[in-house]
Amino acid sequence: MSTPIVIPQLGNEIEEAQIDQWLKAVGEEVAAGELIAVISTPKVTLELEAPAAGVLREILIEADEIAKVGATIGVIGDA
Amino acid sequence: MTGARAETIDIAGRRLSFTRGPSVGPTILLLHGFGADRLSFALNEASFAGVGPTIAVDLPGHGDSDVEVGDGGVADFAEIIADFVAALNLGPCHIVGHSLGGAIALTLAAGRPDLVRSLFLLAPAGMGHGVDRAFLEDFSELADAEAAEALLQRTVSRPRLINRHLASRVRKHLEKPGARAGLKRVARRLLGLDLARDGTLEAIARQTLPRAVVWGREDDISPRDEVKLAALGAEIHVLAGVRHLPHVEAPAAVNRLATDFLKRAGAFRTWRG
Repeated sequence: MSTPIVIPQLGNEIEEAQIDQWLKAVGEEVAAGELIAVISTPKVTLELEAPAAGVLREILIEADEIAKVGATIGVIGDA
Repeated sequence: MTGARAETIDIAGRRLSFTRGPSVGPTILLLHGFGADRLSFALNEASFAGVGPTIAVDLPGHGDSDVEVGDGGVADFAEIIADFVAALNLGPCHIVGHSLGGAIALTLAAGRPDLVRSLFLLAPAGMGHGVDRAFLEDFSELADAEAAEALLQRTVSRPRLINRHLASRVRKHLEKPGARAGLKRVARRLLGLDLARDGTLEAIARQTLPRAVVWGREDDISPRDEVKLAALGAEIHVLAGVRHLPHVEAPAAVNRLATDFLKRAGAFRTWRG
């Protein structure tokens, strides 16, 4: 089973965020709730938690790139 | 909903800027802290919106609202917010207030309990052992983005939560004519603020108003005062590993506590009729 890592809704006015940093590499194991990426907007920075336990299978949006709210930026698969 | 347009309203000759989320029911009014603006609740609004409609307003002298701060005192701000709540017909509303916003919420609830349904406060100013003097005094004097970044990083447990964009935004705000003078006045008033001494705490303690307080255990900008907190009669949540911005440093925990509290507070008032 795979679980998408999604840019969450950020207030009523923010439409996109930059991926500042991936805290895990593709192939690394993660626990549910473990910090997996840092994303930022002009106003606020957020540490994203892994939505499920498993292995970071894919990074779809690399660090320093911009993603829309609701976009999938990576995928966690079964360990 | 994203991409909401900011609205403006004139209150006693001062323009206030705000945004509101969708949905119906009692409003959850979000009041930010000193030097911040309505966007500081960006990590919380979506979660709160599951309980009721949110309105995030820029306080006078902050964000896109007018730089004019009146006498800069919490009582003056509470009056403006009371007029704002009345003008938009939001009362009685839930108020989530951080630091300066928390002190305004408490002052408003003490003077106009008819406008307030519940208080969810994050490190409310005037309820701790005083706000750090250097932080308040240095803020309005910040010369560049680097200095802003360094000062703002003192408010959080992990420096990466404050980025360069945010620091630049603060500096840009300070360049608006009158912004520095206004914030300096607010800072001076905040330095002397003690809600136990001015009778606010006692007035709230007499009320049945549902109230909760969240404080960062490592907050050294405005360290919590256990004696005042006990006298307030609120439910208290102290978060480990958190300094002065619980809603930014621990958004998941704060959102869980706030939505749980707001649901209970709403039910409480409904039950009382």
